[in-house]
Amino acid sequence: MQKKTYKTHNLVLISVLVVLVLTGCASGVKVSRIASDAQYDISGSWNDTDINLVTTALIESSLSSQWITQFRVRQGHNPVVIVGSILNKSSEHIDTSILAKKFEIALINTNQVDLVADIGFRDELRQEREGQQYFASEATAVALGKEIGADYLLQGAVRTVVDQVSGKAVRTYYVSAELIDIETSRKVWVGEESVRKLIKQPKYSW
Amino acid sequence: MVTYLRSSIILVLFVVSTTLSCTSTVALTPVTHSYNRADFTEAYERLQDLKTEYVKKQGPLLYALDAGLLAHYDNRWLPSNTYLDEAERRIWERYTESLSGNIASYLINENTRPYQGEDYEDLYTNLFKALNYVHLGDGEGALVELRRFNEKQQMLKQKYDTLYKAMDKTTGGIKSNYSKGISIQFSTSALGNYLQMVLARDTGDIDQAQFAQSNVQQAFKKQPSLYPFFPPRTLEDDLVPPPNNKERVNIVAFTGLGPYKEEVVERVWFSYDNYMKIALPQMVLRPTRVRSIDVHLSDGSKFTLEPIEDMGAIAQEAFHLKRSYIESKTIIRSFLKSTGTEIIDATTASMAREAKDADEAEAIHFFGSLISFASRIFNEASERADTRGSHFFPDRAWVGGITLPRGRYDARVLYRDRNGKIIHEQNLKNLEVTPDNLKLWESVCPL
Repeated sequence: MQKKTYKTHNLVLISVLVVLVLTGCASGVKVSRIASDAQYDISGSWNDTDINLVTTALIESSLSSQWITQFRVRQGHNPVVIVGSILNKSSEHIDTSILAKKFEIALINTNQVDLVADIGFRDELRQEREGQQYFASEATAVALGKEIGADYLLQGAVRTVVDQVSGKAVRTYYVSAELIDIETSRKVWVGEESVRKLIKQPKYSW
Repeated sequence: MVTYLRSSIILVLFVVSTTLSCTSTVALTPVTHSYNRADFTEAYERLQDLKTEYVKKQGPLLYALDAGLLAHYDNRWLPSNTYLDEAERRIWERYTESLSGNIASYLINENTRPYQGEDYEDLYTNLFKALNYVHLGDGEGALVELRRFNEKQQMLKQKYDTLYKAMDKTTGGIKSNYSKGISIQFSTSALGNYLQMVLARDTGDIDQAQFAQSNVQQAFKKQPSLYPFFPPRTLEDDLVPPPNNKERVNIVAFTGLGPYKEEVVERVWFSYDNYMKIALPQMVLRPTRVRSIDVHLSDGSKFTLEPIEDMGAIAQEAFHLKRSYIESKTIIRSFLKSTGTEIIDATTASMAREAKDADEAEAIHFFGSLISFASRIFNEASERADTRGSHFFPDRAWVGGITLPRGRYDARVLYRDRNGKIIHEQNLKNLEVTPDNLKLWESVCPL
């Protein structure tokens, strides 16, 4: 009887060990939600943290400058801004439209700036308006020639400077943006923000 | 006695089987056969068929490089970029080496380390990615790749200095004939800067275009051994503003296949029955057969292309110092292995001398010889050069240019050998010349 109990104990112990080993070996994909403001750097490349750092600083700089107030006092209405291109002049593939969109959101949320559709969407809108003249009822078709002309063009660029040796690099991103008075080509605001990163890659690992 | 005998035989068999199993090559004959016939579609598809075996035997990095290049030659720009992105990422990741793999490379051979990619592969990967972006009409994306290409070039010189110092440290001052006076001449790629010049011009960044143009001239001036030909004449006209309704158009062509690695074995005898095997990789050039290239356009105009970069020579140059480092490491490893055999032989002789009787001495001799034999087999079979490398980088790049009225064109690119005989022809169809698009065409000849 006692011998049988030992056998059962051994069997249970072995089964537990096997289960532990097998579960320990499991290597499926693991996904976990992380806070949107948590900073994670995996490869050292441009990431969401950089976007947030840069856009927050640039938007703050733009809104704290006097161009909106001056325009409103002078013209009596909100300035109209069109978002142009933010060029990628760096050595990384960066989706600069995210920067442009963040700028757009921040400006429109002030309620002191009006925005018009950017160049990429304008053609699509114009096609739709023209199409409505033929295919929509007269009562519902929108009128032509009522686009609002923009007063300012927002444009910018991302550049990188890299100083590197094997296994170590200092990568600096310079993100600049500027608002240009379309009528006079005068720059009413220019801002630049940089992000500097030290990226170390170990030579050996286990 | 029976136990000893069994253990010794098992040891010999283990050594033989382990060392023989180290060999892992993949037969790419159907792929190269299609490639040589300029049937890039078939070459790419044959490579895809071999994917599982290839990745298993040669690793995912080499597969990504080969598939990326064949996809490019077959005008599959997006898949090519996906593969080349993967290759670039893997090369970057493999800077961090596994310590266990590295230790194994000191004990067995260099093949125990995952393939890290050659410098020229890392560099030219960005160049072909840039061309993929050009074909996709994404000038900004292409320039991103060429800036990355420039960054890597700047890093090369520093990397070589570090490698040279590491080699000096590893050898503890032991220097072979080969490693004496090694210096790497390559620091600026004329081709990379030329493409940057054309793309910066076409995207309206004239300052950048002029800077890149001066870098092309510097590359020829400062590295005469790597650029033993005159700078292409098109360079003088490429940044001259074209007359009204005309545009400057450029073409880049690639010919031949880059160098491959082969094993060179040398045996240095220690004593009358023991030697040190030194197996080293050597880059062997495969010079292109093409000596001149003419481009005939559908409007009757024609122009010639001139060499701008001997990519094969640059690959060889970049491999120079690395080979020197490998040589130092190989000598140390081989010396240790052969010394091990010497110790086994000496210990066997000493033990046999101290044996109680002739039978025991004979038994010691027998087992000692068996272990010594296993050691020799291990040394001979395990000492293998690392000849891994990608297979489809070209040997030479050519460029040319012409100023054309805006419109659509077809082009016949004729490749001639040294006798002026046409050995390959490629037809490029429906090429658009407008002020807004990128005016860089590409042609490939496998010969």
